[in-house]
Amino acid sequence: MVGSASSKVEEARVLGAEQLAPYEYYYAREHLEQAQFEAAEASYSDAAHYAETAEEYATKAVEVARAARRNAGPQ
Amino acid sequence: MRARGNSRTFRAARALQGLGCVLFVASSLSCAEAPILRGQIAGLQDDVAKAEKNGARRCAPRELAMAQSHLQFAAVELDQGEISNAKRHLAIADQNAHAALNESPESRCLEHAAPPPPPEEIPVVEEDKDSDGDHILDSKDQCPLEPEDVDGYEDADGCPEPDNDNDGIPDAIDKCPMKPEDMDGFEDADGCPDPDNDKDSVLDVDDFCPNTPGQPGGARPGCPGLIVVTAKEIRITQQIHFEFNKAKIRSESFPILDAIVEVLQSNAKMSLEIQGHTDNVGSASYNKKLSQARADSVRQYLVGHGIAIGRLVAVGYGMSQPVVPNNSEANRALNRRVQFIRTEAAPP
Repeated sequence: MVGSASSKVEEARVLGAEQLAPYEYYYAREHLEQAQFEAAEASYSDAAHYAETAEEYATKAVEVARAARRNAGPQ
Repeated sequence: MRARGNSRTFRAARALQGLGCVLFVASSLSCAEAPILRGQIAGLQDDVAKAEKNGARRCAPRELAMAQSHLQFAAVELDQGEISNAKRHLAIADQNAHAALNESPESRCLEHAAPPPPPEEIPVVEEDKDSDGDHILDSKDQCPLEPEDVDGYEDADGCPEPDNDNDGIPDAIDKCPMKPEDMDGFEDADGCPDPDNDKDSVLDVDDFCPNTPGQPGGARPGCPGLIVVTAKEIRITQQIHFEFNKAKIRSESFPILDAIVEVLQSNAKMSLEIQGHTDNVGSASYNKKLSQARADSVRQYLVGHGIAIGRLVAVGYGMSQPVVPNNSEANRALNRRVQFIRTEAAPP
């Protein structure tokens, strides 16, 4: 779960979501970091919960960033 | 303010917290701090709620997200008795909550106010590179971590389309990757649409018998007519039915014979041998006699409808000329038949 969320957050970052979908991106990023922290503490239930939220918001960030790129057209 | 969390875990931790305070004397200081921290969390939640109401998602999205996230983490850590962690998150939340509030004055950030200026251009994150190696730079790549499949279909967006025509058959095995399969139960695995399965020129959408060649027009376009005239015979698409063990033609077969009458009337030179055939049930002599009687009966019908008797010969072959082995009821049914063989071109 954490690995999947991490990939999604990274995808959002590469797409420029920090500027194109900042709320979703940072909400996802903070939850991913907390998930990683909880996983390191062996709090797997909490880790899974935070990772789920991270992936949900990273997915939103990716969608928003892609839409912004489409609307911007070729550069 | 959202308050997401594993409520079951959190409730259990909260319940244990009070007990922990009693049992673990050294933690009395922490237990005393908990209400204070809860008060701080509540106060910051109000600030964050106000910032969000003022439009902080537009004007201070990062700060709002950070504040909301860490307030949530702080509350959970506090519930679990992790005071130092709670304090750490609270400090981050506090800083960002105030920043969000300061950067989101109601007059500037509410929806009816002018939106904050958009970025001048799509940001190029880090140095522009091609993470997935598909020769489309990340700044222009809708899927920077998935290489474009470069198959002539929407190749500029940087995203692979493994099934261009969206017919559920991956392009790798789709013989027609740009044309969706029509999924009508006829050769559906190849990925190519078959608009006229039986190739009878009647498109399947109009064809009442899409998998059996037929004729256009009529009450049932695309279905075989009652008869098909070939160079060797007038082939009937339904068998002539007789009363059981008799030579009397059943009325449902009249339309077929009427169609044959029409063909003979419009082709004056055509002549026929009307053949009667049976299966192998019963004696050969009985079957020959029955088949002859049935062929005669058919000839009589045609003569009765105006066809010259000299154009028609009736022959009963009995069981002597089966078309399939008489080893099942289905096969025996096929062998019980009347055939109309053209004789006008036969050598004398």
